[in-house]
Amino acid sequence: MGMQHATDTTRGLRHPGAMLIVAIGFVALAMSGAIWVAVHSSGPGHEAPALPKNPDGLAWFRDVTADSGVSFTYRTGRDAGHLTILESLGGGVALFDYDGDGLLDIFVTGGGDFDPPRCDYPDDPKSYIDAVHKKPPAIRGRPCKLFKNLGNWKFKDVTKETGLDGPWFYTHGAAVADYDRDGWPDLLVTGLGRIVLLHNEPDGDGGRRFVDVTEKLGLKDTAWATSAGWADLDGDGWPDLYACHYLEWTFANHKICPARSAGAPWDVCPPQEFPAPVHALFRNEQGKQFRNIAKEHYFAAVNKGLGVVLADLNDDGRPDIYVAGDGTEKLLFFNRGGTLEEKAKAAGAALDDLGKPNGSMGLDIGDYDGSGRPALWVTNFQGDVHNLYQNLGKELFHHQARATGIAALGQHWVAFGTSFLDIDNDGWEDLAIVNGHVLYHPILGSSLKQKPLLLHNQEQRGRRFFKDVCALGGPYFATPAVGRGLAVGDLDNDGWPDLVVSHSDSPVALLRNETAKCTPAHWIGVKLVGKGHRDVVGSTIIRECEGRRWTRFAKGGGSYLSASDSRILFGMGESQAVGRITVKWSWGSTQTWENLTPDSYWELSEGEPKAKRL
Amino acid sequence: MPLSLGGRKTRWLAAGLLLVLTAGASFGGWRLWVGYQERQAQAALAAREFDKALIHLKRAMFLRSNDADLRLLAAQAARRGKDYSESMEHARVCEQSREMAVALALEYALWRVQNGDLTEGTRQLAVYREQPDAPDAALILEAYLEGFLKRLTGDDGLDEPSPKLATMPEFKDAQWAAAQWLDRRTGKADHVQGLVWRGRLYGLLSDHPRAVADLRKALELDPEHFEARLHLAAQVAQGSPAEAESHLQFLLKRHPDRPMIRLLLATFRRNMGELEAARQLLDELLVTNPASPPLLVERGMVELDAGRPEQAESWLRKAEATGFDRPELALALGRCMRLAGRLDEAQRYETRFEQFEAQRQRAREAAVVKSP
Repeated sequence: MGMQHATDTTRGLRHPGAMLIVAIGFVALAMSGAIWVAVHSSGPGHEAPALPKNPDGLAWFRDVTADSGVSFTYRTGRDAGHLTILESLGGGVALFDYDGDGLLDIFVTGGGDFDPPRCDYPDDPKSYIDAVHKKPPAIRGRPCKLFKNLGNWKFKDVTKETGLDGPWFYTHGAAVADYDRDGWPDLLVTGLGRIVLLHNEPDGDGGRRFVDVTEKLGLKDTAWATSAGWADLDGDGWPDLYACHYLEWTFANHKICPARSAGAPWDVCPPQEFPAPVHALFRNEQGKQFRNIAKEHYFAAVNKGLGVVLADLNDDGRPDIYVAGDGTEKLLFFNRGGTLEEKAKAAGAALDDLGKPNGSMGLDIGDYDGSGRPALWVTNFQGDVHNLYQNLGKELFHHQARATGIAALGQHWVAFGTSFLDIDNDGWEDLAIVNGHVLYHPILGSSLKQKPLLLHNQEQRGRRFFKDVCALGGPYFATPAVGRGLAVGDLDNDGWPDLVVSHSDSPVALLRNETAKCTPAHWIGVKLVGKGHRDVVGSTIIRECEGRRWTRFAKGGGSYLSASDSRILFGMGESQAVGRITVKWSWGSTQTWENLTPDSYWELSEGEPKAKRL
Repeated sequence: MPLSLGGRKTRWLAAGLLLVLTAGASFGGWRLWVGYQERQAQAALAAREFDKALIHLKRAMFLRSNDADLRLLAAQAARRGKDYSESMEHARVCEQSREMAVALALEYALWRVQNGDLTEGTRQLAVYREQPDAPDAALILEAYLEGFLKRLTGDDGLDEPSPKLATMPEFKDAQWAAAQWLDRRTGKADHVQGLVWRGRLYGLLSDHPRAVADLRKALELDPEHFEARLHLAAQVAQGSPAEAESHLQFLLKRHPDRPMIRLLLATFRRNMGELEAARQLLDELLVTNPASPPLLVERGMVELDAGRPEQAESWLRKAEATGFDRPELALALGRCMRLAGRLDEAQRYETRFEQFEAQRQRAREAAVVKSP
């Protein structure tokens, strides 16, 4: 009887109509999202621990932009109506202390526009394309901005006085490093057909200014540069530069594509319509010259690069490189002591768990599972589940997006800037993501403007699980926007990580972390200083206390087009005991500090036994 | 002289009369019975309950086994209910009747169309255009739509949107056929089915709002419509996962004996990270379907997601032992082997998966619905 039933059931499963429906449902739903946390609780598995409840009226983040003095909008050039893929990328944010006053300042890229607009060209699409190829519009850069942090959530526009008032090209991203090891962070800006390196130097009046040293240092890059990251890749102490390149696009090969949705006839073309260029890897020759050594590492034009992060991913003390590409396989370069070995596929970190490359934009690394090893986290396009690759050690990664609740978010997101951060200082790395479509007429009911996401890292049945906690995040997290760059940094030095977000064609947002009002916790922050101001990306920082360990990583790049606060924060929950802090310096030795007091920042200098309270 | 019933002749007369009456009653009853079954079959066909129609037709054919019209109707009902082998059986019996030759030729043609032969489908649509009011004309539309959708989903059953479809002649024909059907078929069941077809066609064009609107309307009119609910779940899954799950739960309650629904729910649960719930659902299914490859693969995937590659391998090997050779199995085994450090084996399965993907990509790039 059982066998007969099994046969009938099997036959039922093999019935053409049934198989059709099974396959449709299986693939569609196997790739789909799932239930919102709060709606259903039937069956096992819905037994997540209760979230902390916010006192009335309080939220984890408060949008403090309005009174901050930061008033800025990244412009994409969308209004010109050319439907370029260029305008879909958006801009980034860099948080760094340019003037050494101990407060993080904010740099935002400006974007650009096109002149003349589409309406000056023929209406008919074919004629338009012919005309625009023959007589392309000018691509103009719009100003970038630097806002000095005055303290107490007040900022001042110092763009002009710091020499950053242009002229600018069409800009996207920013990356920060002390390329010449003079103790002052310098600024790299990326964009269409250029990258610019700006040296941070005294202005002669007690202040600081930025001077363009790109040409002088031979940092030539004519490709479409997007995210960039710094790290000392060859162990000589000088930070080298990885610059992602996106596509080979200009108005000479510009095209518009039929909208995939029934809303309108035309839309921005997907990246598949354009070829991929080779990325750039610049070796820093003692701060005096840069040389593109991509060819020496056999880089190929296989990845439409939008995100890069550099950190020690295999615990050998050397910074490795992970690159996210749009519709292409991700790249993972293990640093073998100056040479790079690309092993993403072999490591299980190139594709998702359906064996597909994804439309990948933002990324980060972090120890989300307490293993002491950095997992790889990547945000993706609509129709893809975001990637969370658990680091199993021995250069092996395991895609765990479904098991950790990431797939439960659904798949109508187009996600960009992202970061691991311990929102509530409970010691576990949470996630923040900003979203926004690239198509003006998206399909499957998705939308151009999308809400950002906050994911809280919790334990569920012995595993780590990310729960959507936007409801606790505050009004910003309930408001759809076209989010792009995201930087995380402690803007008020209270030990709670804040957020700064760049949007396409709408204002930058400053989000103050007020979680302490809801769930107080202790913390400790460290700032790493390498010997002789050498670059320390690739270092690993471990806090040990009461038999437990927490691990953080000094990283270059990360998120999307953005640079976050380079200081390291450890949330301590209710504990006031810091325990021991160990730094495994990149390319170097290990040092330990004890008896640091909590709720403060400490400067840990390589070779210096004593930590300096900041 | 009074009639006497006592005589021999009289008894024979009475017996004969009784026999005639009995025969007459039987004949009448038989005709009534057959007529009743035919009417029930027609009612079932109007309600698109093809299995039920077939039952009534078979009862009628029990008493009228040589009735070629009944036989043809049975062939049609079976075909429309997608029981193609039964449909063929009835059609072959019809071949004995010469008067059915033309009708049978159409039935064979529609059998091919419904199985994806769109070259034949195009021919039949041309016939329809000439005589849209012919008695069985609507069946052409139905067969074309079913065949087109079946053809498009291909081997792996994907309802995959593609903007190229909009310019394909076969797709335009399908849209026209759906419009004709909705225009002409006023019965509720036919109308609902028309909405489902049209909704799926909109879905293929990524016209999400119209797809969802049609499928919702279909469900409003017939909340029990399986296809409408399943396709609506697929359409809303990305943006409204809670609604998608509620549709699946509904289908499971209505069809607890359909393991495919449980399998879909198990996959859904796995996607939510509810591995224990997925495991439980699958284990229940595997008790009665221990050799079902889709179940075994999904069970293996749960273990893979749980970070238990050895257990995953055990389930996946069972699926492999059934002769199942599909991309999802190749991919899962590749991941398993890589996690286990068995790199040569991993490479073998990954290569097999890449072969599947290359085939799929070629089919997608062709973007032309080819008839078998």
